[in-house]
Amino acid sequence: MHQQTLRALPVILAALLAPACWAQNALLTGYDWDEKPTLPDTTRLQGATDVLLKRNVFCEFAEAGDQMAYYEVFHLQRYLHDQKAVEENKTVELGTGHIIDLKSIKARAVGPDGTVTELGKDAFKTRTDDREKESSIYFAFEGLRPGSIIEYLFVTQERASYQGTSVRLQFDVPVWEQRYEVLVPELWRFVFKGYNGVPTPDADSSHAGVIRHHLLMKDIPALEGERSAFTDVHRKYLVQKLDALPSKNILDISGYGSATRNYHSNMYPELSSRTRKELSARIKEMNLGYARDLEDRIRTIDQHIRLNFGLANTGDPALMDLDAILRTRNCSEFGMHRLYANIFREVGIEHQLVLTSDRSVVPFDPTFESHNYLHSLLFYFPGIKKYLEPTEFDLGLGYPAPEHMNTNGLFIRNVDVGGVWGGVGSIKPIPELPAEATRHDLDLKVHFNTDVSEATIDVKNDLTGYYARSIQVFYSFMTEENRTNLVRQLLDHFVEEATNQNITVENAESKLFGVQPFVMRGTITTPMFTNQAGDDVIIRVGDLIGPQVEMYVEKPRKLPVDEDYNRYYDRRIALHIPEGWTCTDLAPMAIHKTLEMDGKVMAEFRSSATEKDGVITVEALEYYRTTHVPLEQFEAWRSVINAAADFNKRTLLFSPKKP
Amino acid sequence: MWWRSANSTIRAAAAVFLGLVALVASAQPAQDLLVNMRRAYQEESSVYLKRNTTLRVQRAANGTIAFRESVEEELVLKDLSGTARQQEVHYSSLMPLEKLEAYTLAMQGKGYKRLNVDHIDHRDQRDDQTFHDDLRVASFLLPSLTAGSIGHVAYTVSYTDGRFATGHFFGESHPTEESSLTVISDPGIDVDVRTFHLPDSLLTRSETVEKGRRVQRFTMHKVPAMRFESNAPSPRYYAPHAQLVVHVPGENGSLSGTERLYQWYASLIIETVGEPPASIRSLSDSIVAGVSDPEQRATLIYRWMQDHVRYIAFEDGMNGFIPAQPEEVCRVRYGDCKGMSGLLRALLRAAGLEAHMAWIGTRSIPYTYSELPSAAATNHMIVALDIADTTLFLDPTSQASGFGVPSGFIQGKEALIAVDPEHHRVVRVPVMPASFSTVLDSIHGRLDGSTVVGTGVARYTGYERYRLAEFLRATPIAKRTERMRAVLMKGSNSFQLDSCTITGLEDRDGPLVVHYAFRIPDLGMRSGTKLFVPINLTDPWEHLRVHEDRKLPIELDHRISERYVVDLELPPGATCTGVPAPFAVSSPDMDLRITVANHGTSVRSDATFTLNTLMLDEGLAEWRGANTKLMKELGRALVLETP
Repeated sequence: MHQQTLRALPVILAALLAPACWAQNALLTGYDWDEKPTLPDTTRLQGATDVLLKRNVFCEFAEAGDQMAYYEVFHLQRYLHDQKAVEENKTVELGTGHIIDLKSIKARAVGPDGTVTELGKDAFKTRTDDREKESSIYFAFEGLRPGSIIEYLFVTQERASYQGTSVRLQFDVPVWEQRYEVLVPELWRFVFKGYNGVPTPDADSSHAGVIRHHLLMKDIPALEGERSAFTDVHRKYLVQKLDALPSKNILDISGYGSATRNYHSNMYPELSSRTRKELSARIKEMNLGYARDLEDRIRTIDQHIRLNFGLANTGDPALMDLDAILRTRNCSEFGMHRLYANIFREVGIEHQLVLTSDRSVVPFDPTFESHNYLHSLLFYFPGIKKYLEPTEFDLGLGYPAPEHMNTNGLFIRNVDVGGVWGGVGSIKPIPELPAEATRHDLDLKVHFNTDVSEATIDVKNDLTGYYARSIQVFYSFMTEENRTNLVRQLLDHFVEEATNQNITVENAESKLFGVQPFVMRGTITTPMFTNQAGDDVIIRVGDLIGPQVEMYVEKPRKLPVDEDYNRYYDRRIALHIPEGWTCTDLAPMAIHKTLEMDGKVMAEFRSSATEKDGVITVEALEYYRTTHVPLEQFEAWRSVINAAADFNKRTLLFSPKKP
Repeated sequence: MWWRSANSTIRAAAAVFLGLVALVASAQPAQDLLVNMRRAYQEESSVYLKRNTTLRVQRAANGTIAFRESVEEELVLKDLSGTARQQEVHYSSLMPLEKLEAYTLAMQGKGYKRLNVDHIDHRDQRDDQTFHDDLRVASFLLPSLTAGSIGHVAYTVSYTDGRFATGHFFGESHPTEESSLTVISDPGIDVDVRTFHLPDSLLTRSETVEKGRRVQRFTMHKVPAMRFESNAPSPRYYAPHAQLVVHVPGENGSLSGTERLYQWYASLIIETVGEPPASIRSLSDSIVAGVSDPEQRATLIYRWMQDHVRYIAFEDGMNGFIPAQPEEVCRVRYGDCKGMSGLLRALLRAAGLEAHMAWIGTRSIPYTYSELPSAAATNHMIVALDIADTTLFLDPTSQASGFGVPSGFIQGKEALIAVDPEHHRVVRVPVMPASFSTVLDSIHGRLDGSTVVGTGVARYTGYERYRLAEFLRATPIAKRTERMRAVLMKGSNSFQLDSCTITGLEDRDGPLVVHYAFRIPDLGMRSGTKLFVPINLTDPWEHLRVHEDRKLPIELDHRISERYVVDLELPPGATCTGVPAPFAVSSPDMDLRITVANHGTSVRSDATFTLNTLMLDEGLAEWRGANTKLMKELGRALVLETP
């Protein structure tokens, strides 16, 4: 959620945001590392070479009157068993962009012989950044060797994020012990939801004035990534939020009612007459009167903004201000959203704001309202049932970023009640696009020279949707040299050493993304499609669909399959058998694999070949109609993936006709 | 890499643009300029109207100071495509930012309207190669930078020591109408401007004396956009540019440039090259205890460094030039190239060996010391060890190298060896022959239906060994077989690595050997009684295949010889009806030989691929032809008649 959202919070809650600074709770200040660290029992390693022995995080939300402060103690102890682990952990860099005050930091290395080397103050270096994004503190451990422990502990005051935070509790290395504690004022209702087996922290009210929510977890195994999986989603994590201050009768603090109000009012500020005039002038330049229909109007607006306004990620607050944006034509992400929203509003295009999260990291949970799920914005147009994500410049209308589909979102509908412009929020699914929305179609006609040493191929290569991502939108902005290189790369994908290239492209315009496929068409010649085998010639038909992803080697699968988007491939290859040659066996072309879920075919690879009048027609159809495949159906899914890779190796044999 | 000055030239040239707007604005109406430039530079997204660098080298109390004034002006030819382009100016404590001015001249009617940049962010630069430095970046957005507008940025940085001043790259990523370097030097300061890849026909030179100062001007017009291609060497190898050699007042004018550079450099390491302190002597003694042979003593010390001291680079201010003390490096067990070299030298000298610190430019820097005796010629430090009538080049930052073998990225480069404060030597680091870095991968397989099943042994030496050893060290033991599949893959991506055993990983001087068992399903193709099987299963030059319009050379990591032997046992009763004829292509840069022999019950293919150069340049066309033929040759299949 953008920071601006918070501006319109109820007065008392807004006051709580003001960072205050006073003594932390003794539960935090009293925490320290052990004076003499204990070396681990290495018989417990079980092959691991890098282990988090201890990972403790203690947080405190402190309140005094109408002010709030947030403190955190972070303590990590890591065992480095071998040279690789030492090399990877010899330095540490900690981001400090969110930190108001680094109260203390210390770090040490403990040798395998128990020798402790604590870093001096000068060892801590800082990197500053006016944008407060990339600032950090970093240090290098001294005297490390295999068998060492590294340890660091720091205490910070940070900007409080109380309306929803996700807390990671599982990593790609094992954790032997970790504590997570949150201290909140005793009158706060702070709530948690654990994912992937994380229990709700226990609440301890035995400390005066605070409730101590605490969690102790031991022996958390590493969860490593797998191909075609959203690993983060399956790691243990916790989402926490301040739900209410019942004593002050402030309820639903992190719910979507307040989020809707805040987001909506920030997105549509009261425009000055000057801003409105500037906006109108800009809209006039768009010539919307020439647009054929609603979709064309939206595309026209989108194109105009893309070509005339630039997205920038700096700390300049002017990048969110509509007046400044219209003057400088530069905007931040939020500024760009504002620009789109207010233009849509001005021209009367019905639209909804949709807030969601990255489903590959922390998928939107429709059962737990929390602002950490409201990180990304899409526009939804009910009139055409399409989405637009303005800052995804390599995409366009109808194609949001894949990680924002097949999840849920907070849809904010605009309402005008008695002249008051407001928003009404509701949670709804954001559907994924069908397979046919993202296609790679090939239509090839292959002729051979008389000795079948060379092939001339008429190519038609169509890319649609996410397969045209970047290519179709940016093609017209490229130099001629870059265009040539791009077309060559696309050709190299399925034909090596193509010469006499005579390729043209069609629909290579940004505004046609999502409307027409990006088409490459032409004729090429290559000697690499045929291999001599005695008197016969092997025709490498499978090569012509380009290298396919293979999953031939797969360890026992642990995670379900999750992919970005559905997709569809239709390849047709016509092989003209030259005079004097014959091809008797078309069987190698036949492959058929499917994935069925709930009685429906959700993924399929099917190839075949037929001959008629000296022309062999090879067809290879492949599609994926689901981006999520449960673990128990992994093998069927893998068989479809590998069927395409198998087809890559399939060949036909041309033999000279016997006299 | 610790020496920044060479890089800063490219950064400065690449990251910033600015211009003399008044001249342009008054010369042509805005629309006409846009139309003319679009006509001249079709399909380009922008053109630099001017890129001027002025260097003022002045006397100072301790020698010289210098100021670099850059003015760049860019006319935008195409509209935005979504993302605003962030402009950047780089500076540091040795090169502080003195002045920065930026604005856009946005088209308005027939002229321009000036829109100032009013927000500039400053930040410490992040560099993956360097742990700590003091490089800073000023970044900002030019407003309204749409087609027809002119971006204008002017900045000045100073050099606390004039000898750090760098030159000018005349080209950029977009074409440049006019690009110039002006060097203005105070009387008594000798500034030698060395030009590279700048034919006289393209360059206008002038030298005048203005207000008592020497003024040297170098101007190019219509400079094409700089090219970049995969596997190409650094732009210093081909892009038109100039570098400076600044001589401070008081230097002995009779000395050569390299001698004067050494005088300066020697003063920077004076604290490091004294007699080794007692703690270092004691450590050295413990490492070489019981060993008297000098080479063995040196080997043990070098090994100790590789195993116990890690590379972490500190480049802030003069720490980018002055090494940390050997005792401190030893205490913390880390250092950068100069700190590690200082410790290695001290340990070797404590062991009675003739070791010296040496400056060197990695292969990304093409200059010899006679071509460019300046800080821009060096970016690395190593140790030169004189032993048994030869000089060995030891790089303590390389954890995988064998003793006495230079790092691959300094092969063929000149080392400036610090013999003592008054004496130096320039010695060229050898280029290791192809026979040093070898791969011998031989398999014995049999056909099980269309699957080839077998065992293999792969043996790696030299830089190939180092590379694989580093890869394996960074791979968890439990994942080695999984990751080695990609290394050993042959035939097709159906290749399955059933098992592999690695030996020799810890012996940096010996070969690394991998024994493995494999399967390649669907390698054979059956048609009636015929079985077609490819016999050459590896294509090591695949990644070096280039298109015919390639302009830039291909830079190779090292010379290499690879040999792949396939011994295929035929199915019982099967006969091989013919084998491909021998295939050979040879030139001074490469040698390629493939022979296939039919032994009745088996067929043996033996392919040797040798690259004898570090740079495929003049022979690029020949290379391309040979590599294309190879691709066709590798596609040939055996024809087996089966019962």
